[in-house]
Amino acid sequence: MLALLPQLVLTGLTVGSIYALVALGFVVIYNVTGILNFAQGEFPMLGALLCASLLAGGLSVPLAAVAAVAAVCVLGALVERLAVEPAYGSHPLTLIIITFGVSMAFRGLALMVWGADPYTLPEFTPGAPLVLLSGVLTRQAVWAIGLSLAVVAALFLFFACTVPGAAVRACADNPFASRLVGISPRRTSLFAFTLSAGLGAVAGIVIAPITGATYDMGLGLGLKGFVAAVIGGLTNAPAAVVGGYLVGLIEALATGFLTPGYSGAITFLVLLLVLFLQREGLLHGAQRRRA
Amino acid sequence: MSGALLEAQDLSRRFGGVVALRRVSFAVAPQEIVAVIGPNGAGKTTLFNVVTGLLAPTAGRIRYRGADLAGLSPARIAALGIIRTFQNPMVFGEMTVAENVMVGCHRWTRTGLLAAALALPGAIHEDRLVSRAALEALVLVGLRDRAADPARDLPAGQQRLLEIARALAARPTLLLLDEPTAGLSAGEARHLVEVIRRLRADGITFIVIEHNMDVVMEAADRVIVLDYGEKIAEGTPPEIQRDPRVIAAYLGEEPDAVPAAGVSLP
Amino acid sequence: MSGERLGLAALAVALAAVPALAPTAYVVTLLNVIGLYAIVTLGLILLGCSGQVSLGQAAFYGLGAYTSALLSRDLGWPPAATIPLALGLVAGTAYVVGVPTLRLAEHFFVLATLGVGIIVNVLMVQLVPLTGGASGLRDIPGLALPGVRITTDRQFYYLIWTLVFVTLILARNITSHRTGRALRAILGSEVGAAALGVEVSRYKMHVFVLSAVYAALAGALYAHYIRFISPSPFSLYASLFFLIMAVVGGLTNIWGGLLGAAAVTILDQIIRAEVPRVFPRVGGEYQTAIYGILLVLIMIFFPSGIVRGALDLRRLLVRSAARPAPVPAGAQDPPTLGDPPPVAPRAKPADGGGGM
Repeated sequence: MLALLPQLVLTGLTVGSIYALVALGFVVIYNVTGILNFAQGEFPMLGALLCASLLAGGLSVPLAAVAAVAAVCVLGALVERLAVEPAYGSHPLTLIIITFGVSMAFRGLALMVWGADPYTLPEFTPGAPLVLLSGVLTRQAVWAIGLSLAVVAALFLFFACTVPGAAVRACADNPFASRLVGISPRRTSLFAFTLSAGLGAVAGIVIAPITGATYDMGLGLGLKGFVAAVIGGLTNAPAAVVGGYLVGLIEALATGFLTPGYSGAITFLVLLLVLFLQREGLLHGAQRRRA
Repeated sequence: MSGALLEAQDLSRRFGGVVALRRVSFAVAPQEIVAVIGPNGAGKTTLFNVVTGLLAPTAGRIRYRGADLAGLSPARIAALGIIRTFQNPMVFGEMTVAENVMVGCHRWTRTGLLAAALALPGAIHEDRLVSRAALEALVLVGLRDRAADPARDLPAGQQRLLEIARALAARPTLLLLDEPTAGLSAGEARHLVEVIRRLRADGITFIVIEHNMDVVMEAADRVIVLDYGEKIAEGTPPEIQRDPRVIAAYLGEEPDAVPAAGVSLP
Repeated sequence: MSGERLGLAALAVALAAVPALAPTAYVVTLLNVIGLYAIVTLGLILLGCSGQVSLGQAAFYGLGAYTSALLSRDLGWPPAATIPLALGLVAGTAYVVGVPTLRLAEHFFVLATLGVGIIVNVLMVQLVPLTGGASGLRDIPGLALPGVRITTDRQFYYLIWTLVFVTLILARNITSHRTGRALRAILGSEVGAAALGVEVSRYKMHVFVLSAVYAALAGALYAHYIRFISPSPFSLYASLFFLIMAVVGGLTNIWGGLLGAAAVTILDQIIRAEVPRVFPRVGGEYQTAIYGILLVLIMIFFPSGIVRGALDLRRLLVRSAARPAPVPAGAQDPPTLGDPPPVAPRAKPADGGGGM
């Protein structure tokens, strides 16, 4: 049994890096708009399937990947403008249900466009897998881990060092005050959805060569990214990334050591545990009590 | 002051590095009308939030009828008879004006889930009492004609009156009003002062955050002045009017602007 | 009030006549399914009245079905006893889920119910010795209440619709008295409700448990009616389906529950029949696209459901015809849940929900 461990850890890290990207998307949108975007998982699906179609249309891998990410960014912006923005100011429940609707719509439309069969993407750099501590790491897995870390780093630089990044942070801190200094929360919200869609698309394209891509992959990816984000406290980007790796590891270990069928439930058991343990910070002001 | 209804001792509240209240102490006697004034951001609403359990104080204690309120939820505190209104009225927009006020009666009614589900005679009887009480409260604030309208259709000033009616329907012992006259016409404000006086005679104690100095001068027995979270003065309205610290806190170099123009900030 | 009673009576008479007049047995079966869904939807709407939404209703529906089915099939207990037991078990489950999560902001509650839904469904598939796994449970005993055996579609029709009416009237009573006002106040503003002495968490808990019991009742009836159950009708997809019914009817409108269940079930039948003709290639859950878009459109344009939406529209038209230039109604944003106390200078968006 224990001989499996290195392999499971490597697998967990690979999948975890994808969850981390999806979780980051959640955190970006949540911080800026206060919305939990339940459609977040559909962006990886759309990225991967669009990329597959563009490849089939004759584009090279890098070109197809970039074009697919760009297209998903546009879709993210459309979601914000057409579905989310019109409902701003209504009950939070309304917004939650809307993002569910968006998720279902994308899944159904993808089924109509791409059908139910899985698509595969070629590995970015084909070649023999690396062997690490008796575990096997495919080259694509290295890409997945590396790219997700690079994206995370780029994101931190963006938020820390650039003016638009600072604007988004300001908006997350205090929407009212940032409006006073001329930052438009509406534009920031649009930006957040665009960026999150892009993050999701990258995740989908990177993981597709390993897991394949199907119209219904978004549900699982989204929920696990979600769990990762919640583990990280939902507002904390680095913690969400750690949460992503954690979920990946838990899932891989559960698959390895338990009946595979239960691994889906394990993630949510962890989620419930985390929710049960949540206290300050997630509470409504109204229900905040003395510690 | 052992006869005090409410007694705050060294109340402090911090938000991160910002001190919203710093060692504020005061006492309110039964059937008193106390006004809390101070520039915007002085900590007035924070004081209300702390008294009503919405925020826990960082330090200090509050006693109500001699009992410590520490750790009680807002609902528990309301159940004790401390009712408040909000600076931005929190009306229940989807409910009618009358239904809003009926929620106010929650505190002194008992119908539970089961009694309601089975529409037991007790529930129906209580409902009748409640709708009568609600209408009375609406008459008091002059919203009787709007009883059947959705609350969200009321203009801001009337939403404020609705909130007051709702609070009155709760039959409070201590009523905390957060800027009750904002958005009201001079006539409506005068009427409200009259209502407050009458209710005081009936036994209700008031703490009122108020920017309109005319109202403060006319209605309050005592005034507490907050500035940067600290109590800088306390006294009768005429004393406060003459207090140089108060004048300085408000307008610095323009002392006589305080009582005349009031400080009706947006 | 009396108009509502009249409507209720008329509906009861019409429904009582259906089996006699129904042209085909299909109509009765369809109405049975609608009735079961209506009970689940009513539970969701009760929950919606307090500003909550659950994506675990299918799990409670399924738990009710499996519990009653297993107890009556494997232990031989009479369904008259196993159905109440199933309701009790589900109530307990909902309570355990609700205690830690109902005090969290609404999206965490949604997430927790979603998690429960998925876990329960996985257990149904995986606990093969108990549940029969993916292939399900056969030979579930039919209903035999003291004195009557209920086996045919028609007999079930009367039982199901009687229960629909009972649950409807209970729900209506709850929402129209003190409890209901407290729930709707919580929907309007949790802070405002608490300031009037409403124990927000306790009310949310009551109504959550009740909604789970509604779902379980429908589930248990389903099990003894169809006499075969498998995990697939209790998946996340079913939870979404129930949510759509509630949303179509209006998340806070009790009467809308009936309408939502009927409209969506019939729509689903039509979609299943018609879409393959237009998209012959497509199999599986293609309907999700239609439902998803429907969900978004309703939430944007008719957030209080189709019925209220139509009524509001009419009211607006009538009013604009009566008065020359009405002040735009509802120019004020409706209060969002948990608007932070305005003075708190560092209100994080986490406190404000979606209140931008």
